[in-house]
Amino acid sequence: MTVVLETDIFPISGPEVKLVLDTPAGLVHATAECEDHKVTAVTLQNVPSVFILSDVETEEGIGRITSDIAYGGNFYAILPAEQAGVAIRLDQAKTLVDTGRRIRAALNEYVGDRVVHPENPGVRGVSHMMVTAEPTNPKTHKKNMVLYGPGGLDRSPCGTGTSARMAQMHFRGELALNREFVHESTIGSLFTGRLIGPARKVGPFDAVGLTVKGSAYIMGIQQFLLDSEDPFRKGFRLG
Amino acid sequence: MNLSGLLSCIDSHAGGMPNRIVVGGLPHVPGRTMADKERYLSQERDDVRQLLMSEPRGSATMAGVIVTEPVTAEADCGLIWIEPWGYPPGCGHGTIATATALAEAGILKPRGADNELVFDTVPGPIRVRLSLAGGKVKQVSVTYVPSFLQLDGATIQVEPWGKLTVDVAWGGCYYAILPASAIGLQVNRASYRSLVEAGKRLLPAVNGQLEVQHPEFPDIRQVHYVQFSGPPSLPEAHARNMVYLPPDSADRSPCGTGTCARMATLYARGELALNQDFGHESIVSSLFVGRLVGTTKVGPYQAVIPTLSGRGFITGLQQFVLDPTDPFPRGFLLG
Repeated sequence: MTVVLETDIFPISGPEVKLVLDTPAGLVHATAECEDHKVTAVTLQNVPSVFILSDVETEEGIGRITSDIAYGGNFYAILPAEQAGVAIRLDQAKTLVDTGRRIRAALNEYVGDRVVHPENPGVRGVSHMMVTAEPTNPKTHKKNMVLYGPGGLDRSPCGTGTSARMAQMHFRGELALNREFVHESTIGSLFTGRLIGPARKVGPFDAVGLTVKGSAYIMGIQQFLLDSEDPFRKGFRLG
Repeated sequence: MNLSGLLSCIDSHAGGMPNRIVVGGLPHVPGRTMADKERYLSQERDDVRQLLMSEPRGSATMAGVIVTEPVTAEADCGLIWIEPWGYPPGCGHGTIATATALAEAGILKPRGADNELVFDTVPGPIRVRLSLAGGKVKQVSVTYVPSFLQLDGATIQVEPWGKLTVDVAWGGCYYAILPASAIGLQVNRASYRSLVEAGKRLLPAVNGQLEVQHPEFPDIRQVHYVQFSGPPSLPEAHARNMVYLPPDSADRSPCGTGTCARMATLYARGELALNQDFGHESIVSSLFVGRLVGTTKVGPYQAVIPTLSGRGFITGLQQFVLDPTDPFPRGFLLG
């Protein structure tokens, strides 16, 4: 949204520009706040978010782990960082990847078929794991770090993760509707979430509607090339 | 879009290791010597290095070079190497990839019957020969700086391994070299993460317990990297290695300056003769071929003149910009 407006693919027609985006998860309604041909923030209405399972207890090498499972566009296991034996700091990223993968595997084995999207059975299993902590920045409400894919760590506060986290807190009675929820990432970047009201049920689960707001920045314009003799034409992965 | 900086780069790789070449956006890097230019960049424009090497534009595995005016009459341009941790004095994979990219993009014209280019660098001029076919660079052969073994079998104490013996050699950067088997590991993909973690412990221990000082360059007095060696898997290779790159990565290429340092070490031991091919394999099984073509002296040290051959490839044309409101104007690194 920031890129298409700042590069004039869609015009910045006023201080507030609304766009509707087709995505694999459905229509996404987004609103950009604009100033001097620049997008200062984008608020998007995410898919209704759902609290799936509470207090799932699993045994892992490092001890007993209690986590909640919520959906905010992806399935998240949410647990306090100290349970995973990590702190949310730049230098602990590798530790979280290592222990997080083990916890996620143990959890998926335990929850089995109970974590399946009721309307899209292709979406199943805990794909993302979020560890949570109290914030470092006093202007924020919670801090988090998210493990996804084989060993990826979200550098941002995680949009779908913030959605899942708000649903979890809401159904636990810890977050009311229409209140700002400022979520901090490992590197100190911020997204602001807001629960906007009850949403239609997702299968048997109560759902909540929400928005997530953040800022984005253009950092380059790239032309990727492939030399016909390059031996790494499909790239490679290490580690 | 509102920009507070535009840097034009050619991205390239040699042996799988990236090399980001800054060809535009820094029109003048003052300094009479390459050391002056490096000092200027590190003191006045370190933002450029941090922006291009750190996330989100770079990564712990990024490496690059800033192209400057030459400082000697024979050179085509000057090169200042950049990495996430700072300014390494030399870079072999970068020389191969930079020569390929600047010639293929037509920025530099190879000269003479041997299609030569000369780069001014902090530790002196580097001469390269290009094998060309229809404007395409098929092979780069680099004559690198005189290389020598400085500390032969030095002992360091590092937990959890206790006493370890390392060779410290110069090949354009300083390397502490030890067999991966000394810490119970092998040089292969499965050991990648364990080798990086070992490198994190070893590099500060080496610099805390051993002293190096290049006889000709007073500012070069640190060990830059740790090189783990092991037996090759490719039939055309004589050895395999992985070089730990601080803070949290490793060279994907066979490491050019590391290959020069290793060849100097093998020569000093009588294990590598002059004018013999030395095939060096990387962690991802890419290959550079080194060769010692002469001897010389550097201060009190018996030194060898190494050459290094490999191929480089252009991977992209990049315009990096910085939004003045970007909260990470110098990027960040994890790990």
